[in-house]
Amino acid sequence: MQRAYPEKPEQVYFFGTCLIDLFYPEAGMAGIQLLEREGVKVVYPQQQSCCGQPAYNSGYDNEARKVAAAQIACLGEERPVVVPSASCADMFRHHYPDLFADTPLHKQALDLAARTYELTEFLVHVCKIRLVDHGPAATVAIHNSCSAQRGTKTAQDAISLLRQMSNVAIVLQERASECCGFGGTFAVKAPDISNAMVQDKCDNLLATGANDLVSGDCGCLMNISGALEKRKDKLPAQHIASFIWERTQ
Amino acid sequence: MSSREAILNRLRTYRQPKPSQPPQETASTTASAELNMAEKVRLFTENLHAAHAEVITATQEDWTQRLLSLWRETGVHSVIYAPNTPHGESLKSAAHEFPELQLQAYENSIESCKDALFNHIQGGFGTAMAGVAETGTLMVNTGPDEPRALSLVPPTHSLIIHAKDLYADLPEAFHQTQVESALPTNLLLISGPSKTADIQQTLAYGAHGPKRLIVVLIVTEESVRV
Amino acid sequence: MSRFEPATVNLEFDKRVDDALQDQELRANFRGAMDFLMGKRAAMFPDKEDLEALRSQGEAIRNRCLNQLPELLEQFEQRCTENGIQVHWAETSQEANAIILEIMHKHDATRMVKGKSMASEEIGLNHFLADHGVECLETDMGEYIVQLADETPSHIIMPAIHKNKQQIARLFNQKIDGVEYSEDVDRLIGIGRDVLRQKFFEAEVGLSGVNFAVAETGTLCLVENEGNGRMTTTIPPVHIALCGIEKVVESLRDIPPLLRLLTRSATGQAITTYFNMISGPRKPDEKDGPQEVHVVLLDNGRSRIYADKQLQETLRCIRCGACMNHCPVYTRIGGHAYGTTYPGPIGQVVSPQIWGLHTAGAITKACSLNGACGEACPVKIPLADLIRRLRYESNNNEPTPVPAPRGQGSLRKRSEAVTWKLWALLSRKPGLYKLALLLATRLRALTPKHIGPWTRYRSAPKPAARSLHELAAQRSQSNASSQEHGRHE
Repeated sequence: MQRAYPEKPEQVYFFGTCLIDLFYPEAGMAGIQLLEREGVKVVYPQQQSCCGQPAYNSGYDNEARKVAAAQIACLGEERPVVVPSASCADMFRHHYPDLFADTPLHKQALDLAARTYELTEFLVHVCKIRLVDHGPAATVAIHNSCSAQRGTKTAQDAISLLRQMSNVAIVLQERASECCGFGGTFAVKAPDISNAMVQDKCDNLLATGANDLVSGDCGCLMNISGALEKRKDKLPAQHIASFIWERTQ
Repeated sequence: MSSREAILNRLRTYRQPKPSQPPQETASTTASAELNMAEKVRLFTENLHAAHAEVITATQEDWTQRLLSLWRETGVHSVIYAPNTPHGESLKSAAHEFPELQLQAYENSIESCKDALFNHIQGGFGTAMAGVAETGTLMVNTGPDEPRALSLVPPTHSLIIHAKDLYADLPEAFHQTQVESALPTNLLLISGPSKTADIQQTLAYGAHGPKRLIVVLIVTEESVRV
Repeated sequence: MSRFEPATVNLEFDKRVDDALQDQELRANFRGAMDFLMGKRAAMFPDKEDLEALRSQGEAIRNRCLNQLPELLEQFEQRCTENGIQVHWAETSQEANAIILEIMHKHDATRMVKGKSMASEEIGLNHFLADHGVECLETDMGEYIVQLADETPSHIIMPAIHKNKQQIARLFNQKIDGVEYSEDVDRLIGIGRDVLRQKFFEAEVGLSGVNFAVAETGTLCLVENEGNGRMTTTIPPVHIALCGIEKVVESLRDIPPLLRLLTRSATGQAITTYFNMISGPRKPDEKDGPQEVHVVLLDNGRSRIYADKQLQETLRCIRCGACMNHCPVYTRIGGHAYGTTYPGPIGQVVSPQIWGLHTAGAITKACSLNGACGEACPVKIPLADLIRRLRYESNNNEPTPVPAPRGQGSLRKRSEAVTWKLWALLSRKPGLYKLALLLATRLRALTPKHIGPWTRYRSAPKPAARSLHELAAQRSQSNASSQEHGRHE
C-alpha cells in the first residue's frame, strides 16, 4: 500500500545521520541545498547525533533507547523530518515505535515515525522535484540499501530521480537486491562473512562497466568503496544527493 | 504431572489474548476457479504432462483397449489391480484379449504378496475419486478396494479418472467431495511419477515410488465441448 | 560434521564459518543451488499483490491456530485416538527418544526406515537408537547421501545441497559395495532406489515427520516428491510420526492455502508429487498400511517460545527453507557452519531458543539484518527482528515477566557493554558529541590506518575536514545574515 504524502511544507527538519556528519558532510549539504532549492526551509537541530541503530542492532536496547530519546527531543516540532539514509529513516519509521512500546515516549515515537521521510522519497513524492541535468554523459550503477528495499521501501524513488537525469544511463548489477555485507556492526562482528559479501558486490558492480556508483545510504557506500579501494579498483562512489546536486546546478 | 499436562498448562498460562479483530483470511482466488469442463480437462492434462505423467484421453468404451495396448507396447506384462471395483472388473474382462498380460487381483493382505509386489509386479492399476486441474493432481481414496501399495510399489502406476470428477483447484475439490466428513485411513494426492532433485538439483524420476504415472482420463462428448 | 553436538554450536562457530568460507567448492555448490531455488520460487509468484495476499492469509491461518494451540492439541489427540492412532507427549528430546525406543522394544524391532524429519534430527534420534542397537536408515535421497557420508543435513529441505554430483559419485563408489564411479544422476538415484527398496521391504518400523497435523480430523499430512515418505508410512507394520506441537492446524480447510505456500516457497513447485494424509492404521478389511500408528507430540522448548508475544512468531514456521535460500550469509557459509539442526535465518531464531542462548546464541551475529529472509517467508515471520531480539536477550541481564529464552544474558561481554554505555553517553549529550566531532575532524590526519576487523578488507574511512553540524550551522548563519542584509537595503 502506498504511503499518503502531504503537500509540500514550508519547513522540514533535516536529520543528517552520524555517518554523514563525520564522513560524508557534503552529502548532507547537498540534501539540504536540494530541499531549499525546492523552496523548503531546512531546520538542522544542532542537538542531533545518531538514530541509535548501531546499539539497537547489536542488542543493546537500553543504550539505543537513551540515544533515541535525545533525537525525539530535538525533533519535537510538528514538521516533517527528512533523512538522507533509508537505514536511519527506517529506524525512526519502524523501530522507534517498537523500542518505545510500553514507555511514556511511545506516542511521540509514533508521531515521529509518521512524519519521517527518506530524502529521495521526500524529493519525489512531496517536492515533486523536476531535475535538469547539466552533467556530462555518465553510466551509473546504483546500489539500493536493504533498508531502502525492504524497510522504507523507497528504492524506486532513488531510481526515478536518476531517470530524470537526461545524460545518465543506469546500469543494473547482477544480484542487485543482495546485501552488500555492511549491516552496521555485522561488518565488525562477522568480518569474514561481511567480506565475502562485499567482494561479490564489488565484482558485480565492476562488471557493469559503470563510471560511477551512487547509493542513498552511506553505510553501504563506506563498505563498498572501502573494499574497492583496498582492492585498488576504481569506481568513484557518491551519495545520490551529492551526485544529483552537482549535476543540476 | 504428566508431560501432557505440563505442556498444555504452559500453553494455557502464556497464551496471547485473541486479537479483537481477527485479520481477514481470504486470499485472491485462483484464476482457475471458474473453468468449464473443457478448460479443466485441458489444464489438468497440461499439468500432468509437465509433471512427466502420461495421459490417455479415452471414452468409457475404448479405455481398456487403449490402456492394455499401451502396457503391451511399453513392456508392462504383470499388473496388480483392485478387484470389486467397476473399473477393475472392466479391465479384467478386457484383459482376456491380452494373453501375455498377467493380471493379479490385490485380494489378500500385503503380507501374502509383499515379495511379488516388490520384486515381480510391474504395474498397479487403481481409481482416482477426483482430480484437480490447477495442479494436475489426482485424489486417491485408499481403502479395502483401493489398497495403498497399488499406487506406490510397482514401477508403473495407472490410474483412471472421469472428467466429471475434475475440479478447478484443491479447495474446490475438498469442498465438493466433502472429504472431511469421511476421510479414509490414507487419502493421497498424486501429481506425477515419483521424483527427486536431491543430487545437484537435477531432476530424476522413479526415486522410490513409480517411475511412470499413466492417467486414463475418461471424457464424454459434453466434457470436451468448449 | 558427523553428528549434531549442541555443546559445540557457540564454541566452534567462528572456526566453522572460517572453514566454510575457505572451501571454494562448497561455496560454488551453495551459490548455484540458491540461485536455482530463488529462481524457481520467483517463477511461481509472478504477481506481487497475489503473493502478498497469500502470505497474509498464511500468516493469519497460522496465528489463528497458534492462538488456540492447547485446545487444538487436545482435539487432535482425541480425534487421533478415535481413529486408532496412539498419541504420546514428549516434553524433551530425551523423552521423545525414550518413547520411540520403547515402541521399538515392544515390537522387538531393530530395523527402522525413516522419512525426512527435521524434528528427529533435532532430538538426535539416529545416534540415540544406534547406541541402543537399532539400525536407523534415512530414506530421503538427500538424507541417505548425508547419512552415507556420516554428515548432517545442510539444508532443511535439500539435505545434501552442499554436495555436487561428482562428490556424490565418489561417495557411492566408496561406500556402497559393487558400485562403480558414475556421475549419471539417473544411475545414482537408481542405485539409491535399489538399496533402499530392500530396506523398506525388511523394516519393522517406519518413522516420519509431520508437515501439518489436522485437529478436526486427526490427520497427519506429509509433503514429498520421492515416495519414501509413503513407503515409510505404508509398508512397515508400525508407523511412528514425530510432530512438533506447533504443527497443528484447525481444519482441513486450512490445508490448501498452506500447502500452496509451502511447495511454492520451498522448491518452486505448484504441488509436490505426493501429499499423504494419514488418518489411521490399517482397518480390518484393508489389505495394507501399518497395523499401528503412533504420533509423538514434541515440545522441546516450543511451549517456552510460545510464552513470548514476539518470539511466538517463530512458531508460525512451516519449514519451507525459503529464508535460507534467500539469505546472503547462508549462501556463503552453507548449512553446516551454523553447527545446529536448523541453519539459516529460521535456524538462527529456532536454535538459540531450543538449546539456549548460552549454547547456540552466538550464531545470531551472522546476520546483516538485510531482511531478505522475512521478505521471502510465506507466513511473514519477521526473522531479522527476531534475530535482533535474540541478540538483545543474549546481552540482557534484567529479569523479564514471561519465561525468557534460556541462557538470557549469558553472552554479555563487559567490555562491549561498557563501550555501548560510553557511546550512549556521547550520543545523547550534544556538547560531548560535538566535541568528539570537532576532535575527529581536526585530527583527521591522525586517523588510524588500521581499525580492527574493518580494515582487514577495507581501507579506513577518513573523517571530513568539517562536520555536517558545522557546515549546517555556517549555512544557517549566512542565510540569516543575508536575509538581515536584504532587509536593511
